[in-house]
Amino acid sequence: MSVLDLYSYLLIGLGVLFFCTGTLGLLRFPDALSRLHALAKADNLALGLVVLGLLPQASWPLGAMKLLAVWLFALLASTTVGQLVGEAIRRGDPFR
Amino acid sequence: MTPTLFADLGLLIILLGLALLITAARPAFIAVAAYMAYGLVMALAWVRLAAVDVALTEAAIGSGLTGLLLLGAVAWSQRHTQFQARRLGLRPGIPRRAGAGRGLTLLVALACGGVSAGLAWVVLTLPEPAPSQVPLVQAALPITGLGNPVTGVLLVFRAIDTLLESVVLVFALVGVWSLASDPAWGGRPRSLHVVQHSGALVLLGQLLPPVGILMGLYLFWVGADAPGGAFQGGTMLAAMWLLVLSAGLAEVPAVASRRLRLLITGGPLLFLAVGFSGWAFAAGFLGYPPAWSKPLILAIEAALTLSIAAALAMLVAGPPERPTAADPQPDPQPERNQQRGHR
Amino acid sequence: MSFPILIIETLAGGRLLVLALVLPLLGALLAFSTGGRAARRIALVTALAGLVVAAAIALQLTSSAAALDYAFGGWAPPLGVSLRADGPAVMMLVTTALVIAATMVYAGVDFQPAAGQREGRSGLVFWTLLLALWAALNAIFLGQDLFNLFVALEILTFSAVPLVCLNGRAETIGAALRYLLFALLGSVLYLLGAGLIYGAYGLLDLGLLAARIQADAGAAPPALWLALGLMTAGLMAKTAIVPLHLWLPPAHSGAPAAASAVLSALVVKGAFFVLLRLWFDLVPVPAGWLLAQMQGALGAAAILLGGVMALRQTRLKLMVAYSTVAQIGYLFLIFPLAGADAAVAFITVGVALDAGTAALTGGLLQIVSHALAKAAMFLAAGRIAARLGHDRIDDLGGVGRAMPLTLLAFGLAGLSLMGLPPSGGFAAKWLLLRAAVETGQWWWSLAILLGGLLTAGYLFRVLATALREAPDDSAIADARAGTGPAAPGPALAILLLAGLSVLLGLVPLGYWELIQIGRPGLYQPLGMVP
Repeated sequence: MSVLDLYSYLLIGLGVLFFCTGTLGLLRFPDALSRLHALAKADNLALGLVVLGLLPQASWPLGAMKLLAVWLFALLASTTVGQLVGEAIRRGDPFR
Repeated sequence: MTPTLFADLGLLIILLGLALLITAARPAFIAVAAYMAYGLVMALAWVRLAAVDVALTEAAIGSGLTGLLLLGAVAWSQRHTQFQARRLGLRPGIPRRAGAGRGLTLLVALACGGVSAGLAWVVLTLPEPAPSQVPLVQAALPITGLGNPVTGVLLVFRAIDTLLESVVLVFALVGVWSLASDPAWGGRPRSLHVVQHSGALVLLGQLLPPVGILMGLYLFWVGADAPGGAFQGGTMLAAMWLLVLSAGLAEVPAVASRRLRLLITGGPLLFLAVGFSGWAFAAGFLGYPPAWSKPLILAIEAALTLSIAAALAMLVAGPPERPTAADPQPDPQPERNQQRGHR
Repeated sequence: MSFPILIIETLAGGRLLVLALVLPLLGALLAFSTGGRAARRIALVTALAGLVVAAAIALQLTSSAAALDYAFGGWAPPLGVSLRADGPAVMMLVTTALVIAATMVYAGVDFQPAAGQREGRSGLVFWTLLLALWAALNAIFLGQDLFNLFVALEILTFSAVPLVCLNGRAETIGAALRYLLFALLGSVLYLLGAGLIYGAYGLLDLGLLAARIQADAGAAPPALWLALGLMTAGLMAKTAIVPLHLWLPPAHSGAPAAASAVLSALVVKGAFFVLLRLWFDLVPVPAGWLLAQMQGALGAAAILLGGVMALRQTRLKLMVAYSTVAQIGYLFLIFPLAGADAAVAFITVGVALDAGTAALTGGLLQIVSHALAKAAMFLAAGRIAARLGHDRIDDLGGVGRAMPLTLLAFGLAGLSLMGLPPSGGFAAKWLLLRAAVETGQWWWSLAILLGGLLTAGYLFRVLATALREAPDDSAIADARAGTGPAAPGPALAILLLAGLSVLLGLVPLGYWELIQIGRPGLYQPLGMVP
């Protein structure tokens, strides 16, 4: 196992840990806003760690750039969705 | 047990669990959420089966677009039952019965169980390796100039099926529009207007579409040689259009708009025109002259991509409604004005 | 296993098949694109062209006495998809063209946009989807590929369901939703079966599949039987055979008359035609006495239940809808009659027939005569309801005086439904009856006879009331004053349909020659060499 592989295992493992933490928050936190908080924070970080861990394994440069783009779009989407869900919760409207 | 088998087993268990949740969940919202998750996991399963074309379609249409439609239906029926029934004294659209009788439920469960058991048994008896037309497709594919056998089947060998499928979409849209009220006919669908003008959504509506449109076009373009094609690309474009529409950055076109209708029928009409030209220049209806087959197929796919995008987006937008401002007693969404008032 | 990949188009007649499928499709797309009043003009032009194409196919078929084939793009099955017009398909093509054209004449002035509007909702939806429905039906009659047939069934569903709730009232939307759910259940089961068959054989083309299934006769894989079971159940839901008929009466009676006519006359037959293809083309040996008897039992139950329910109705359109439930029942008698010991031969009207051919000819004749008669009946009921402002059977007095042509058409159509000579319905039921007697399955003849009595019961009730003088003439007189002298077109269209359904019976055995075209030895039962 090369150093790069070790690096990948480490970061992906860390990422999975953060995913688990985020999910735990989703399941255990008392209200919708804090659950949202847990998801948005932990999952974005977790995805970032997984992407960073996968970078050395991906083909350079296109594969790596695709991985980074995936993270970027996920960030953008979860930020927006977080905002929208938050606004909906504040309005007391569970669906829109 | 190899790691991949372990992962596949995990996928299977998640799929079965989600399927159970969809069936058993009482609130429709939870069932729909589980359904969307099911579609995504199913897409992963398709990737594992090396059916990337199917996976893309499952994720885009099966989970994304169908999920969106179902979610819209859930939201609408909740509003409808809560507000219409109480305030306007109307009966909800679907009578709320206490559910089917226990006998009927049992009968349905038995039938489903029987079919599942039969399928499980029969699938094990299927010949191995599975008989297929793949060698034939591979042999004939060079004639078409395409690299992706799936596109070869969809646009060359079984082009009539694809033509009819693309037309089904148009008729489904006519069916959705037919639910409009007569005075609202010709107007704009308004279901997307309910969404609040949120700064975050506007930003996303400005940032994402350039990239998303590029991605949609890429999916259509690459379809000739790799997984992708008109349905996947069209769904992507539809999603971008819906994003722009629900962010309030553009207005939903009126259903009377001839440009919109030509956009929706353009793909199938071009497909038909190329089909007829096959009588003059190729082996028959829906045949392509060998030298021209790839450019013709790309032209059809391009027009289909746009038509599918327009039709899918309009399916989500729903039937036309009368503008609420001109309506002294706004019955479609009485609470909408309330929200506007709060802001 | 080697197949020719590309085949060269040889018969010009094949192009007619493509036109039969594509012209209504093109018409529907153009009608939707242009919209407005042009939609109706496009539909009428398409109807004219479609009639010509159907007639040309029929001529070509009878003159060459061979089936017409067409492979799309020159790609032969199993790689490509093909169309095939044999005798039964052509009977259906011509019937469909006639019924749709007559319906268009009837619907001429209905569905017009309101004053000041460029385009009305119901008009655009009706003309577009009527053409779409026609394309789907032609695709079903000509289709030779299990998946292609699935797509055709889908177009049929998606164009038929909105027609049910064209008036936009809550109860018709409920009926349409129920219809949609039944139809989608049918689609899922059909698709599942088609997938299983592909998994077992790697083929979808009916002809190639039939050859393979015949080749390993007796040792068919269990997948085939499960697939056929699933597809049969699905198609039964779409055909509305008892006990899967619950969706039909509200849907067919709630739709506008022009839509009801097409739904009742043609749409349910589309699904049934696929069922015939499966059980007569795919599995040429009628499979299993028990299964055939079960299908027959459902048919008999439908005849009796539909008849009794029709007798109990107080509304004319609901009565006509329940009559459809009953008449569909006759179709399912084909399976035990053509399936069981079909080697029995007998002579009727000077022609020697085997029981299998007699049953199938009778069944197809029943499809055609019921299509013409039921379309006429629904259109007549629609005209009566439009004139009176209601369709309560007990208050139909005076209709005979006010609308003699319409009532005459209703009566003639009724003649065919009851099975009185010389109508097409009589010929159909007579052939079924003879087949039942000759094959020793007398129990089916009881259902046929009782069904005829029930039909006579509910139709005479309507006719007797309608021929009575109105208790007070004012209702009819008012209605007449309100509408003014009606244009003769619709009444003549209805009369044409009803008249044809009666005249069909004059040459009953001309059909069995037509039906045999393109089907060499198909109805030769096991063990008989053609």
